[in-house]
Amino acid sequence: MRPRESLTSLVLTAPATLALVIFVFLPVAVVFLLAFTNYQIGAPGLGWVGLDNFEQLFGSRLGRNALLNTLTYVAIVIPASVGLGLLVALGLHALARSMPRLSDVLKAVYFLPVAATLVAMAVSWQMLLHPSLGLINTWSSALGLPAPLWLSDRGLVLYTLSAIGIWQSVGYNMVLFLAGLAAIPPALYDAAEVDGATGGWSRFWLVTWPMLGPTTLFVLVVTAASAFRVFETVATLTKGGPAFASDTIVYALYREGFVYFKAGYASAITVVFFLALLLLTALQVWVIERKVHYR
Amino acid sequence: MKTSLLALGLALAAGSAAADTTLRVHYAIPTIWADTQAALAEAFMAAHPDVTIELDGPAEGYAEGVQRLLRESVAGTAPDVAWVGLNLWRVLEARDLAQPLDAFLPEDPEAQGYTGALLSLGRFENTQYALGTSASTLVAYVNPDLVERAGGSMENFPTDYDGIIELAAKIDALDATIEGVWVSPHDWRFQSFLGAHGGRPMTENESDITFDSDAGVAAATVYSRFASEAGMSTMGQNDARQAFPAGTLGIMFESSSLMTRFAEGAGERFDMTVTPMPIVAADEEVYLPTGGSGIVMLTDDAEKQQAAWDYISFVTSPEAQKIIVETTGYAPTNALVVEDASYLGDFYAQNPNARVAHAQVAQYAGPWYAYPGAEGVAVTDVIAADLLGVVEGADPREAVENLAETTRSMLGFN
Amino acid sequence: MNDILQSAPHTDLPALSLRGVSKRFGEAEVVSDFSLDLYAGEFVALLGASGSGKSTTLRMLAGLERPSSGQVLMGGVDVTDLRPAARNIALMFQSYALYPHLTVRQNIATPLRQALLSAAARLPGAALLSAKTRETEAAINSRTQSVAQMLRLDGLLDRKPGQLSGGQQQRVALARALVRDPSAFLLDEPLSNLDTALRHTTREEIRDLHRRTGHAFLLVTHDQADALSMADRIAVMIAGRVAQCAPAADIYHRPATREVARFIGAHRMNIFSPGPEAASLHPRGAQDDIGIRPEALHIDPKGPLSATLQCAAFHGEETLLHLRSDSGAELLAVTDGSAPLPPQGSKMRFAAPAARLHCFDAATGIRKEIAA
Repeated sequence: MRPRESLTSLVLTAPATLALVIFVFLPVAVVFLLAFTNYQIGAPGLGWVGLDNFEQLFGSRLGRNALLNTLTYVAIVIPASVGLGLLVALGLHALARSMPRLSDVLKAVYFLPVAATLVAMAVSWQMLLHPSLGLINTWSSALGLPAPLWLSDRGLVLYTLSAIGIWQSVGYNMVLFLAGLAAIPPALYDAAEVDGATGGWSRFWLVTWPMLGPTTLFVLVVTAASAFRVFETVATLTKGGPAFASDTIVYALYREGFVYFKAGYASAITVVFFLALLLLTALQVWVIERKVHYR
Repeated sequence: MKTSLLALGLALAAGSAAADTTLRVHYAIPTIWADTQAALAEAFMAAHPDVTIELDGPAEGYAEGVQRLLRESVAGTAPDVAWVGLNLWRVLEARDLAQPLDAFLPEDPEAQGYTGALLSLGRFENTQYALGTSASTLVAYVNPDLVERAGGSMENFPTDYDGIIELAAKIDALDATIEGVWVSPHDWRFQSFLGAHGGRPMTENESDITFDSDAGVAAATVYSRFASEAGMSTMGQNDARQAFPAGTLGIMFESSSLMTRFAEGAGERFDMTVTPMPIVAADEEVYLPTGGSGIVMLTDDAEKQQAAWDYISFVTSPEAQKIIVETTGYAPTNALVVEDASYLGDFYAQNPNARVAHAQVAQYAGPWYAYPGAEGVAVTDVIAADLLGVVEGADPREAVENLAETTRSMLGFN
Repeated sequence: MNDILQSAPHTDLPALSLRGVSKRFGEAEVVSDFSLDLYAGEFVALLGASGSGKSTTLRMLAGLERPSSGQVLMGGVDVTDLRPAARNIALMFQSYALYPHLTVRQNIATPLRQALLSAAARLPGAALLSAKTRETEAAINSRTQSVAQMLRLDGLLDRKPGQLSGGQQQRVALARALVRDPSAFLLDEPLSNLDTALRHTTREEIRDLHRRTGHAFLLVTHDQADALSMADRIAVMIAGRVAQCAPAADIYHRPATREVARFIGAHRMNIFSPGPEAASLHPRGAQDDIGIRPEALHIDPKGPLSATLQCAAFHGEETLLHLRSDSGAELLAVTDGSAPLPPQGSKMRFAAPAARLHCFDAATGIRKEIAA
């Protein structure tokens, strides 16, 4: 490139680059530095504490509890949400042939939780799950079933939040799977039919499932990323309680940083979380390139 | 608005009478405070035409408010005066942001209505950093219908914990969906029961935890007995705050600041009644930690400080306190306004529940202890978690002793 | 090497036939009263423009589509209600429709695995548990191997389709279709995704394959060059019906209808409506349509046909002349590429040998034989 052109390119990219550096890279760098300090928001000074913050996250009861809760939540939400999303998509895809109207209505119904504001939805959930006034317990009492404390029993709360997390993400996964299904060349199903894969199950294994490979991986990563980030439901419904039973990593981050004002420790959590998501994304890119696109 | 325009006109007419000062004021919880703050600012500016009050956009809650103040102080854009939660001004004090007020206080604070109890709300190590502007203490909200269905009556409403537990057990037995009593396992509620038993959470100089005293065990035992004898459930705070106005909860210990909300929620369904906390220890040993808001001075500009003090002393004066009480439902933090019937006599005649709560504040108000240091807020969550353990069946003495040890180590007391 | 590909014994009955088959999608009738017989060892092309219903016909033959009425017979047996796999018909798709996640070996073996192994035995590792499964797997493997060898795929067996060229993919699709030893072999536009050079060699390969296997082949194509060069018989399909079914030379030289005449041939046939101009070419032109292929017209100063040269397109060995006849009709003529041409706008005269004139009923478009 001639010097004049290079100069023009530089001038053109400069504002965006500058904004990126100032608003993204610089703050990230500051967070990485703060993670090794005991800085408190508003405090006049700070001290270098090395790896203490990370030790606290992985070593303390509260830190490990938040990590474990998050892993439990993720372990429930990912398979359930991806599996249900696939099932619903398969069902609606098939239904679209015989009853397109009904299929469209159901699609909208399943997608509603994705489009709705989660905080507003959380209020509805709270009313539904109220131990004595809520619709769910009113019905279950009427049927003679136990009326559990869905959001304030420490043995139950994480599963309740997981169920809400699933409810919230199934519609999104469904849409992604529907797009994946629509992209499968119909000729492949014809080929399967001619080759003797006539049953629904053999068709699924021979064509649908392998052809959904890239979609499934993408859905898995997207679901994992959002499941690891679970925050809104925790913040609005339980505030991590009762007794930290639903404390998750991002809620802990918020709690430590913005309720306890421990910016250093919160930064350390952010760094760990950031690296974990980075790893997840890298894994996705890697696997997609190697495996799922059948190259 | 009209008055402020008038004041502005007067100020202009007077020419350069005094250098005009603008005070930036921070407050939180606009759902409760927005109208009140506007009325206060208007009244103040009418009396002080040379000072303009500029209200910052309010923060959603006290915690968010303090976060914002901390951020603004880092950026050098902090306001001059701030209304903060009574449990949170210590955060500002610890960072040297709150200015001492002793130099401004009148010679005889008592005569102005600043009683020792009220001053204690904003005092630390013999220095006054904040003045209370509105107060609330723990009271018992009662559903008289359920009390009567359980064979009791409001005339003979029990005044001790034994009686309340017995009554609550009867209410709880009425129906599967009806609960007898509920109180949140929470630091402030626990401090209230502790104070009612004559205990304190920390030593005077904040160098050691003292809630593992007999009073502390007794306070935890209240939780334990509520659960084991009166069937108290572990439902969350939001659930309970819905259940009580809905009429499915007999007795609820909650902040007096919720009075208006509960009264509106209950509506015609039942005649919500407020009763005072049962006091166990001798009066001079008792205090009830006081929630609500206080006001701090953040500006270090000498000239602005005088204007800021004028504003602070105005909002804590009987005239302003009358406005606050009438518009927010909080208890006042100036003794004169309660003692002198000319201020709120009519109000109390119409709101007997408010009188119960406000009398309790006037009699027993004490500081809401904030634990010192970096882990100060974190400790309160740990306390809440262990109290839940007590509700779920842990031995109160053992739990309180373990909790004290955990707390000491978190705060670096040993 | 071909012993495994011996086809079913010849019988007098057609290997595959359609009897009065129609197919309607809603209001639209895509295929109307279609009948066709395909005998063992025969290579038939179904030629038609896009939208002529040829793909639907193919799908009905394969069993992917059910006829709205009519019958599909195989060796005289009604298979109308049988699914594709049960008919044992091989189908090669235009897009090849290879399973992208399977290797070439697995792709070719799929029809055999589906037919010979149960769902449980198809699971990975099933062969470790059952000796019978192992035996079947071995048979499948050797069969796969030999078909692959025949199509020169032996070196590519462990590749994925994505790593193959278009021609290689096409051979994999052929192999997958052949591996089951089908009683009939349907090819849907097999050459449309190949470049010109590859088309020529592949035509030869497919013909060769047909010769070696002896199966009944049905080729569906829109490209008459493919049909003319490969098939023994061509069924020309127009608007859902067979307009003519005959050997390639017959179709070209004796088109049964005006539509077939226009459709077949590298250049569109000139058709003269009844009138003095048509009559000047042949007396029947007074009441019938007269057709002349552009390649049958030659420049002749004494010829009966007079036209103005609009433009000339040089194509190397030949030159295409766009003309306007004196009556205003647009005409095409092909001349030798080396012939000298007058400037544009010049009047030219043409003649055509009587033997190469075609006569069609003006109303029905049906061919009328005329004496040479």
